[in-house]
Amino acid sequence: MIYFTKILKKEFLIYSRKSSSFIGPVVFFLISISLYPIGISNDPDILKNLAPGLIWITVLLSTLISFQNIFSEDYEDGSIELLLASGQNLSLIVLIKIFVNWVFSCLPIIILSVFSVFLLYLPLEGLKPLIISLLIGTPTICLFGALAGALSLGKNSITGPALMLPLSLPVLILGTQAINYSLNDINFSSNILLLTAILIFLLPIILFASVGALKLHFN
Amino acid sequence: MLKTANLSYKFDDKYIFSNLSFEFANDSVFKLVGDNGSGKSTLLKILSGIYKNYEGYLSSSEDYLVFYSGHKTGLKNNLSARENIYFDIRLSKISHSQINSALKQLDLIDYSDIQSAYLSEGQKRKINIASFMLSTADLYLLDEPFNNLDRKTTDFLQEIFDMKINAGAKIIFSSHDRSNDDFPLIDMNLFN
Repeated sequence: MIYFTKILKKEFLIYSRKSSSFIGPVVFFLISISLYPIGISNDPDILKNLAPGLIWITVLLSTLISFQNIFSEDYEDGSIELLLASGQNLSLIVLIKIFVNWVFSCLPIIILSVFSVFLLYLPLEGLKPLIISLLIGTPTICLFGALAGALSLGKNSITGPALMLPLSLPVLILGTQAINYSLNDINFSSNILLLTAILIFLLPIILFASVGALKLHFN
Repeated sequence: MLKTANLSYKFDDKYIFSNLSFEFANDSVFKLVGDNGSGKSTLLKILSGIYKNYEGYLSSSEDYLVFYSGHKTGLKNNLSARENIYFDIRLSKISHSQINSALKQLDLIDYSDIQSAYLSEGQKRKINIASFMLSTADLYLLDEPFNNLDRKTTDFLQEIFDMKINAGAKIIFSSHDRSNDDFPLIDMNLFN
């Protein structure tokens, strides 16, 4: 347990000193969200209808920036070799890395998405499903990002997003739909339950697959 | 402790080494020598469990704790020397006083709070030597540990070797240097 606590503390320290890991996605999100009223329309009715999709797509694209870094630095500096040699449970280590990446790259965006509600004229009843769907949906996106990052180690930077974006579509659809349901007074809990089920179902599978993908680079 | 039988490793349909049968048993230190590309680093990675796709057999008679140090340092650029040692996954619980003592002995104490990105390659290697020094592993697998070290650090590393051997640990390390020292040699060129 001491071993995993140590890795968790180390990851937090590394990410907290690597400002690009959380400032990049946040800046991208803020700029994109503020450009929509300028680029699309400043008509509240048009923006209101587009807001759920725009916010979810922007979150997805903002977090893409950070997923490349989950394993790439560890691969380049030799840390992954040390992890493989340690004989410890790699799935748990990958889970810690994904969790810390989510805290630094997704959580600030989820908090900032509250402001996007005002910029894009999303009615306040859409705020609750937006936050809940992002809180449950973004960890799944992080899992896909980790798998894509592990598979594309040492390859060009487009390989990871090209693998990850198609996988994230169901989460994007369910998240956007949850907000739209709420705006049309339809119960959105089924979407949230589906997002939760996807997360629970995929968590062990993607951890296992990511560990396999990491080992593949050394065999 | 460790035993290999007909151990071979193939990369891109070409054998890097083949039919390596050896028992790392009677001595405490083994030195792997050989030309570039003869498979020294590969063998160390197989013994440490990083590479699994070898042919042949690798067995061990008991459970043991392994400390592996490769060409890459595994250091994080935005952590200081002290933090890199404290968070080194190869080391179990370790105190700040132990880290300070190791850093002092390696003349790194004045640089201990500087982020590793700003340290020289030699200083980074010294951080790895400090981790090696503080480890309580049973088996040490070190890839060219004496490379690019000054005379003083080389002597100090030699002292740590003696310390580890006296504590009952085993060391398997690779080197280009075939000079006549007391270590039993394993010439990887013989298995190419």
